[in-house]
Amino acid sequence: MSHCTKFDFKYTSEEAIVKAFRKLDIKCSTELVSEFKSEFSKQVLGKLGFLGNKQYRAICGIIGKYNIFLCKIGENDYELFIERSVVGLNDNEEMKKLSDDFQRAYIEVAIDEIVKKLDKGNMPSKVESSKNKYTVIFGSSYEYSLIISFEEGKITEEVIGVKGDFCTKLTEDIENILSHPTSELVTEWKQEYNMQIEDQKIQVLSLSF
Amino acid sequence: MLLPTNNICYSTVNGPGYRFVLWVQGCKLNCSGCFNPETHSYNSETSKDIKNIASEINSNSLIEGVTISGGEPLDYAIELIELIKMIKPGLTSVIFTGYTIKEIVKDVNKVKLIKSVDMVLAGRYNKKFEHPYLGKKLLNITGRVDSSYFLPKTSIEYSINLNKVTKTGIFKIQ
Repeated sequence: MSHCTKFDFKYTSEEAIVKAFRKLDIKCSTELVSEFKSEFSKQVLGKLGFLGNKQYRAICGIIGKYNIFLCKIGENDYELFIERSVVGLNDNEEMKKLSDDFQRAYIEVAIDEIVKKLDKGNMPSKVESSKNKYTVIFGSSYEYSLIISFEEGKITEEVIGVKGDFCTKLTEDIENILSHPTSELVTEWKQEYNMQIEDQKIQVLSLSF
Repeated sequence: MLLPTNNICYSTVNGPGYRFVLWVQGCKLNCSGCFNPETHSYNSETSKDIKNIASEINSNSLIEGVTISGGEPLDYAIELIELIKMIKPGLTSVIFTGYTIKEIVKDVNKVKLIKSVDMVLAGRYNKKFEHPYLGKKLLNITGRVDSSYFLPKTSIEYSINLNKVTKTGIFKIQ
């Protein structure tokens, strides 16, 4: 029995964002930040009291010459912005790497939640990671696995070997942290698992895309 | 045995085929943004005898089945188990509930009720979702009802019953 879900990646949890900053050893704080259309607008008009075109509540951190902002753009919806304080030749590559590192740290926070949940249930577990994939192997003989892979803003989670609705309970937290309800796209009802209620076997379907 | 009801109508947009649709009155869940808020309060003045409801269902030879919505049908599990027992075996039965599977399995009467019907659409209404069926689970109990009917779509229907007009269906994709 396995369960496989795909969804768009989103930063949704402020707590997980803060934990991701900590994982990267970056101090962070919550501030009101402004978005300016141009450097002129920021450097000149900003000093005259202009608050920019948009203001956001953001969780902010500094790493080297880069400022990282996770701006709250909606309920449980944050967007990552990286700003450089000094222009350099390799800015684009460095900013891309920083963005990937932050996303990875954030996903690791979600993985930590899964591991905590397994620990609570006295279920031994270990985590293996590669470039775009995490595998949580668990069970008394490490017979089950949960694979989280991420690419191009999409997350795929797959639970292998788990019977019943335990797999959906297990992935609830990860879906809450890594996705946003409105990012789901739906095309069909797919069998998720079979549930045994007393003497009756019931097919449980969920909308998938 | 009495069942508080908000409305009864015949419809083609609340499950497969032409159906008898019953909205119960009263819901403990009171989900924010629910599109049937008038069905949330508990008002026993609107109660109907389940024998009379069953008799109306059984006397209609055109319907394919019964859909029970609300309000919260599972808050009236005992009454609805009795009602389902009374209806003709050839009719299919569908329940729309806001309770999650986790909540349903904790309650013996709720379990009994879902085991007595053909299909249950279960899970909280979440106004953030683009369609009310998103985030819910479809429990296929008997295999007698085609799940493809429950694909998210927009369908509206006006039905007239005893000079009362009911507007039902999914009005818009939010």
